Amino acid sequence: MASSKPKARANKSTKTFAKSSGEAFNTPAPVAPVALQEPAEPETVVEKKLITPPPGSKARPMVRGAPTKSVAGQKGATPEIDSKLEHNLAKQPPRALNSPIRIFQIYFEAWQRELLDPAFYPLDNSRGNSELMEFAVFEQLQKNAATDGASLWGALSWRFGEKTGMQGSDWVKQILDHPGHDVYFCNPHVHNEAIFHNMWLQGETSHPNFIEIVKAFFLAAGLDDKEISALHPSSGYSAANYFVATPVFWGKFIPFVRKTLVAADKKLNPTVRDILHSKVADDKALHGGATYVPFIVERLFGYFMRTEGKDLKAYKIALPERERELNVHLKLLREMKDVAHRTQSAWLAACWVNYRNLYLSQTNSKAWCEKYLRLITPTEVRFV
Amino acid sequence: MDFECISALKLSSKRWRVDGPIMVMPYTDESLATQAGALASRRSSAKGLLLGIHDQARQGFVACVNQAFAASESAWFGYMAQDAFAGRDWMALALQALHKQRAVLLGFNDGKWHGALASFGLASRSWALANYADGAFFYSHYLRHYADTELTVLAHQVAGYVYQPDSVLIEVDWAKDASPVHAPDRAMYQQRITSGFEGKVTDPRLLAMFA
Repeated sequence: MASSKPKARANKSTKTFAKSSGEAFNTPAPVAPVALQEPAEPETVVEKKLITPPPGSKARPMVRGAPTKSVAGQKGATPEIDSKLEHNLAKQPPRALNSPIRIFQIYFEAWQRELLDPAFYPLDNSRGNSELMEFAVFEQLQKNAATDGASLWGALSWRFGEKTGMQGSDWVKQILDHPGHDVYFCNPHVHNEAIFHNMWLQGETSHPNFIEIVKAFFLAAGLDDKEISALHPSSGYSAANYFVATPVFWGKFIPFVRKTLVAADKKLNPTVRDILHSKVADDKALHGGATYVPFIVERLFGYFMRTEGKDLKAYKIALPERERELNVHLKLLREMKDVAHRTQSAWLAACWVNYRNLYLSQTNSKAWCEKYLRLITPTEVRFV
Repeated sequence: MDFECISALKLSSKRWRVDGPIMVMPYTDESLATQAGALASRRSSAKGLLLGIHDQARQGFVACVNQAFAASESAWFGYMAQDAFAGRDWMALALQALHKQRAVLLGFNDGKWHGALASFGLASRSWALANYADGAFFYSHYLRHYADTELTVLAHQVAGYVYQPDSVLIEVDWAKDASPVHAPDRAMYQQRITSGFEGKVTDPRLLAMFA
């Protein structure tokens, strides 16, 4: 296409990005960040390398000399290898995987590697095809030696930086600064805390007939469906499965989700079950053609923490970049809803609903409001 | 990316659902389109679909793109022409830039506009769907020109425009500088500026940008 010559040039441009290498990572086990193992320049005889300890490690950085090609190429007797050392190294995971906090970052395509955070361990999931998406990775990691001995572990998506506006090192610092919790989580979609009663009702605006499917799911799985229409405090909102947690948390959460899914599948009406497992959930193909299952699973975290996980301690990591994006109405709405929840005030909750509906009608099309406002506004006020 | 060529007539009877991006390429010259599409497909370094659309009825670039948008589902949706020459990794680099900048529209390096406008572009579908009441990708009253200009201005207004110079889709049109702009499209653009594109653009600098 063509247009007239602009009077002003666009001034927003990205920096030049390095080309993706196209290298395939197909090993099932995660690999340590490549920055620790950069090849030495051939011109240099010995390159001093700073070995940075992994996040959370108490080890101090050290400098070691890496033999280069010219050194390695010199003729001479090769020293004997200590057989014990060789045996031990073969048995142990890569050095970086000895960190007490192990955060993996899932990716699917080579170009996404450019966007991965150096504080996390890249995890190639290009062969993953489970309907459960991230949850399937959690299940695999729990059984994998890669999480053995970790005090905290988790698996975040390749879009972590984009969604949270944080660097991995800052995320780890938040964890280290707030020790003693079983699970660290966040909510990258903070505006939802202001304008929806809870994440179940939010789902209705993103996935066709979500509430209807979720109600049937809750009934079949034996869960308390009052959750679906109740007001939830903003402190419990989470999205995207960004959890870093203790083995104790994973040991309870994973079986809880699995048990819930099995029960629902067993008891659901076959027609509803087919819809549950259909890609109708992602009608615009904005989520990789996901079914309803991962959208339900990511919302079960809050329910779990109020029920079977109620004795576990959770810490919600704030996302300053996302908080800055909230306008004054969203900030007020969130605070108003939280006060209503804290004081259990039905009156204030009703005021919040009115203000919220006014806000949504000003910021969304008439068609959107006609389609969703009634569906996301329960007739009675209830608090979790 | 996979590469598929179809007749524009198919757009009313078939749907395309793609996990990666969909890039549409309306064309009138089949040999040119096949050549451009095959190269772009090989050099994309990303999953997705490049959909060549044979515009036999000569309904125009804008109408073809809008029909393809309505007939498809994908997180990202882009447009290019039959005379586009793709650089290596053009799609991979574009996706990286969009995600890195949390942008909604990317302008490819077309060899002409230096990123000032997305003459070939890639947009977030959820953003594009909210731009017009009829859910069209481009404002549907343009025929050939200025629809991309308007889209660029809309993206700037929400601070969502990104240009990645390494992501190359050069327009190889030897007679381009001699070909005139479609006058009714220019008039339409000027008229739409007066309403700030139905109130969507409030920054006077953006309104003056291509006036």
